[in-house]
Amino acid sequence: MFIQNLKLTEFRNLKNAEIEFSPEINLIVGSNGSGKTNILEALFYTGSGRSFRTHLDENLANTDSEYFRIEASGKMGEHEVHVEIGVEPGKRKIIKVNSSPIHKLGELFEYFRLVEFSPYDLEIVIGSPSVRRRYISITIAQLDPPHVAVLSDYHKTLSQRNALLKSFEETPRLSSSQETSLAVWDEKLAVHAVQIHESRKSYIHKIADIAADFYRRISGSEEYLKIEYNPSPNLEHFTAENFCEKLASRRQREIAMGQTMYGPHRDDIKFYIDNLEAKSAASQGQIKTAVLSLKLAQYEYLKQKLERLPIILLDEIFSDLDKNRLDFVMNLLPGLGQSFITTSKLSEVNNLEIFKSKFEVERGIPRRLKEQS
Amino acid sequence: MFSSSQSLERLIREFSKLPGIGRKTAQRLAFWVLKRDPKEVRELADAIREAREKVRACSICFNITESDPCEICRSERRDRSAICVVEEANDLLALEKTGEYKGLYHVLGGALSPLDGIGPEQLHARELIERLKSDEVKEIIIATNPNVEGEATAAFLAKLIKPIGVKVTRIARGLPQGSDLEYADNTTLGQAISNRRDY
Repeated sequence: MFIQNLKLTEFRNLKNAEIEFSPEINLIVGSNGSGKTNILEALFYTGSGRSFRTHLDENLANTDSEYFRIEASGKMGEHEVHVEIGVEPGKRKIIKVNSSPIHKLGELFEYFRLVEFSPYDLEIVIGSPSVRRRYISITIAQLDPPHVAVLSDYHKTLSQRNALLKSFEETPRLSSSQETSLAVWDEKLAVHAVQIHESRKSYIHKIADIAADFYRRISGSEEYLKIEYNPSPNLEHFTAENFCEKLASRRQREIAMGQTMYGPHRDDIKFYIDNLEAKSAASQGQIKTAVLSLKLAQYEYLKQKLERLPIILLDEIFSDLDKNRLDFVMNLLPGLGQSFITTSKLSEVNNLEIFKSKFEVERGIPRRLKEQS
Repeated sequence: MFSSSQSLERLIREFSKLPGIGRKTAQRLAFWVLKRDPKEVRELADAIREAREKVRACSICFNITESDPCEICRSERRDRSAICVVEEANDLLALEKTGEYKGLYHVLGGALSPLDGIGPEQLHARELIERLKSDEVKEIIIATNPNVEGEATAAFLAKLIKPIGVKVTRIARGLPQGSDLEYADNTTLGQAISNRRDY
């Protein structure tokens, strides 16, 4: 699959831009703040309705504007795909694919699948668990678009259950009707929790070995990367019944806190390098390699499952990766399908000949660079 | 911007309280009223007042009615062994339009939603259980909305009713008539497959 044309209106500093891309390797050159990463961000948004830098749409609209618009057209196999997204922060997103409106965000995930690697991704290892949950949610949705609806139902049920717990705060003993109400929300939460748990467990299980393999090849060492799912609650058999039992065991505390103490909203993913937790023990370089391996494993697994090449977005890899890691990625590139790579200096790039299209962005205005003869 | 007449301003304010009406539309409606014949305007005002005064909830099923009990509850042609439970009177109206259902109804007046402070006491759930005390009722069909709150309400009612020994069913979810399979969303299609029936 590939994106051929991208049109941006009021998206960050790109007030009005249109770009024609190559279905192969694209290079985007621009100084800091020029808007080159914004282009990657917009491309990513066409596949998920989300940014990889922020979860707030307010940050994506140009400071002078109340809205932004992204239009992308390209191909998936034989099929032409035209995605239009209009966002007025605070209101419902308007999304159309091939001119028909989409009502559920999950349906957007059926089209462009994009894997991104940027300096922001170090947060996946060193940031808070919510960053990892957000990452894994989007990643699973790319493989299994209905996952978006499961997550949304889980979070709605969770808010309802928390509100119910809060309403019991002053109740020393629950009435039988209150018991029944709580049991209903427990069971509904459990059904969605089991679905999310199974998706996460199976995904992490599947990519852990692929990532470990990439890690060894990139680092050229015998270091072992281990990615581990840390579910909440940690049950030997994660069934709806056991989940409800676990909730019941902390009922008094849950009522006192007005919060659900267990569930996928408290999940985490741990990264270990040679059995030491990366978050606290790994060097900057090891963390970079771990994230890069995770992303390449994601790409590889998506490719196998879709039987198509996803699109890859690489932000600032020339300045961010050392020579070994960079060479590894550059050698992979020609086999990866459509890719987008940004750099702040053209002089950082050695093998310019592999880039089929080159663009320069200056203060939010992209233009194609002429081929040098 | 405020208008120069106080009574006009009051009318605009009242209109803008209506659901889905903003200040601009309220203004348009108010100017429409001013241009009408006074007799016509009186008829509109009377219609609003009369509807509000005469229409109330049926004391048995909580459907909206002018006579208590409502026509459906009084009718001798309805099947009194089945009660279909809906969230709002609108839903009852929609089901009636199909002409498929000949039983009785029960309007809950909403769905469980702790976030909005709606628990079983805020719904007409106890009244539904009361209705089951006569042996007449053999089946409760739960037709709450297929969303998080509607599903929780359905599960809650099932927990309450099953011990009484009355059959509880849930309306099916599936494909809309006249649509193509390939355009159905995954959730609906998945449910249509898992809830398939013998042919």
